[in-house]
Amino acid sequence: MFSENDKISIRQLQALLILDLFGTGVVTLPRQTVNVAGNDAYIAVLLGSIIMAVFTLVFTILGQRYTNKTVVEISQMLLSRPVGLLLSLGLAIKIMIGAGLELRIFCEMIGQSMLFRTPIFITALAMLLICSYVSAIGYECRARTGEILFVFVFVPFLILMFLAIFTADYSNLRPVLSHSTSDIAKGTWYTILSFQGLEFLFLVFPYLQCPKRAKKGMLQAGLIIAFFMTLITLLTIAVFGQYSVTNKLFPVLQMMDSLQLPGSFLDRQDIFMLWFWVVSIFASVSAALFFVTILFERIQQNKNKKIPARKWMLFVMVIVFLVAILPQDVASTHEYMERLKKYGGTFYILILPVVLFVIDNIKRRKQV
Amino acid sequence: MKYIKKGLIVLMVCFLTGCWDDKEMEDRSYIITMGIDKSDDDNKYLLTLAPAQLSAMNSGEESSNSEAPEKGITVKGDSIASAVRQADTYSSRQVYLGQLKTVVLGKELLQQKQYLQSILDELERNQDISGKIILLGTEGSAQECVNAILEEDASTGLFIWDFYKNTAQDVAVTKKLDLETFLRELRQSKGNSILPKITTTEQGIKIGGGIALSDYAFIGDLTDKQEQGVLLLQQEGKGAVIEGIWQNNTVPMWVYKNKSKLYFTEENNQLICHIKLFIEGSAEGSNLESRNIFQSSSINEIENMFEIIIKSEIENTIALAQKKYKKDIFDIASELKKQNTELYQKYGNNANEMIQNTVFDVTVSVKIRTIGVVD
Repeated sequence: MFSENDKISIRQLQALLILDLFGTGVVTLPRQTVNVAGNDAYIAVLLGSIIMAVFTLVFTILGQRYTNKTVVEISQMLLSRPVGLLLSLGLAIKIMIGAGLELRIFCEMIGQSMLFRTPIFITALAMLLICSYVSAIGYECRARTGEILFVFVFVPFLILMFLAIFTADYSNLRPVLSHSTSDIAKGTWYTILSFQGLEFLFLVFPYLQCPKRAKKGMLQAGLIIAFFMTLITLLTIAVFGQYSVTNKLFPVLQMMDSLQLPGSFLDRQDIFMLWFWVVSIFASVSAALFFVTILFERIQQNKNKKIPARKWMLFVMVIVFLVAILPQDVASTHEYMERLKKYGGTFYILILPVVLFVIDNIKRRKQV
Repeated sequence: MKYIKKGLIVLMVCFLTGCWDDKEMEDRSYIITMGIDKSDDDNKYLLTLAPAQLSAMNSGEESSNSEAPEKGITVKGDSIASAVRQADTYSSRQVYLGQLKTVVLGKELLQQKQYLQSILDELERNQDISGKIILLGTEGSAQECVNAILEEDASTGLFIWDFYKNTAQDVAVTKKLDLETFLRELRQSKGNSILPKITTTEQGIKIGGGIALSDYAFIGDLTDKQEQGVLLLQQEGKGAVIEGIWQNNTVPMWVYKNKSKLYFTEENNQLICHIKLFIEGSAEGSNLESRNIFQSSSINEIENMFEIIIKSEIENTIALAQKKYKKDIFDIASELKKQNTELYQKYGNNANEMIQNTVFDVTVSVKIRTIGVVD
């Protein structure tokens, strides 16, 4: 009934991409952007996310040109073997550290809102075991899981969004464009950096059924993400006002908690946002585990003695687990995350795709 | 290998149940109302905690039919956290603030800026306490108010919550103010706001009027009429009853629609705040012998009368901020900032000075839509 060729459809890739990118980024993004752009933060988020939605085309075009290759092979072809290997190893390390830190932030958040006494390592281990199981089976399993979870997660999320739309005080968004262009540009930059997970597009094309249709699909997914990120930021400012947003660690979660459902029959409806976030973290950590094992498999040069991807899983899990439990507290975790986004994210999400794209274009022109 | 995998999956499921953090309902003392006063001795705060009486709720007993309601648990501490931990020593069940619905702040606490800021920070930071909790201020002690609330409703402790759910939006004597909104107003206006007032009387609890705060400290109170004026300005005046004398008869008008518009202009280097109020209501009474209310001329007269009365009420309310307290307790400066950045930069930097020098131009338009079922 279902094919098991380890290939996924564009729709499945869209669902996975949306779940991957809606990780910790969206929960803390309003606070970060309001800190610099005040009540104009939603404009910064809109600009940043549209830029990134269009930027997905760079990944897509590269992927479509080399459908059976990942960044490991492409970078070796375009930049030379040693540089390509080094960059691929760097990407693997970046993804592992990013996954570990996201997992830690998730565990802190769960610890704060639900499981106060449960040690962080238990929550992290539970999530890692599930993610590794799903990743070990293959990409198709992840994709089908993501497709199903997407519906169950987005419907309550949308209901809460509608509630927030009708109860928010939009006068908190005024005066519009009262902040300088440089403040809005800073906010735009923070938004661009929050698109951690976009580097998975380097690795996904060998698993697509119809890579030729990827451009439209990726652009659609990017614009959906842009729309929701902007809406969430706008509503957070409208509900809390710019001064209160900057004081909150997880303003989106607290916004959900502050909404009053009609009839007052439900309380703690931030549980829906938590549910959404649990699924999102599951998607991004399982993606990280899967793609890092693929990277390690493909980095190996000796084809006769290659260790298959599945066998790298335990090693990758241990590294991600250690990264998740090592930071002292949530403040230092956020600091490391910001540094990773700033250096690792800027290089692998912005610089490397453009460099590879430009070099590929130059080489193609020379061939012609 | 298969069995190891299956074993691992079963193990995973055990971790997913969250049993590590389980707590039975019966093992908790759910605090519904909390009163915070400044303590007289070395401790900073005096907390009065009113728990829900789950056993009374389960047996379906009303508080008036059962034994005399318990008084609140009174504890002292230098913070909410330390006071709550002390409260745990007085009860077999652990105090839980996750169902807290109302917090009453005593006058002495409200007069101390640093203490108030500290309490608000603790309330906001606490992961159990929701941002939807209702805040009230009192001119007496919060302890008296909490004990009076317990007398009204000892079982669920939801007296205040029910009041705001069932009655408040239809009486226009008070506005529901939750913690999140209060903090937003304070931050936006740099410490100015109006807290709804709760008072203990011989007949029980009375909720109405307001407590004015400036720079995070108590500066005075608002009567019911003054609070009504504030609510009319904020488009929350639905349910207000305004009385006027027409042809030697007292004619009450019940407000069922209230809109207001505020905008700013500048004339001769003077900031002018224009307030336009649009009110629709129904004339609820006259005199049994009086039969000429059902004429457009009469209705016009009554409308004009109410326009004068309401205008006077609004001007008296504004005079509170301008002349009595000389503080921008209505946060007019933020409204100016939202509407006109240039004027704000010219006049709004010192909000308290701005409010004293602003000219207010109040225009009221009243429409009587119904006069009841007789003419």
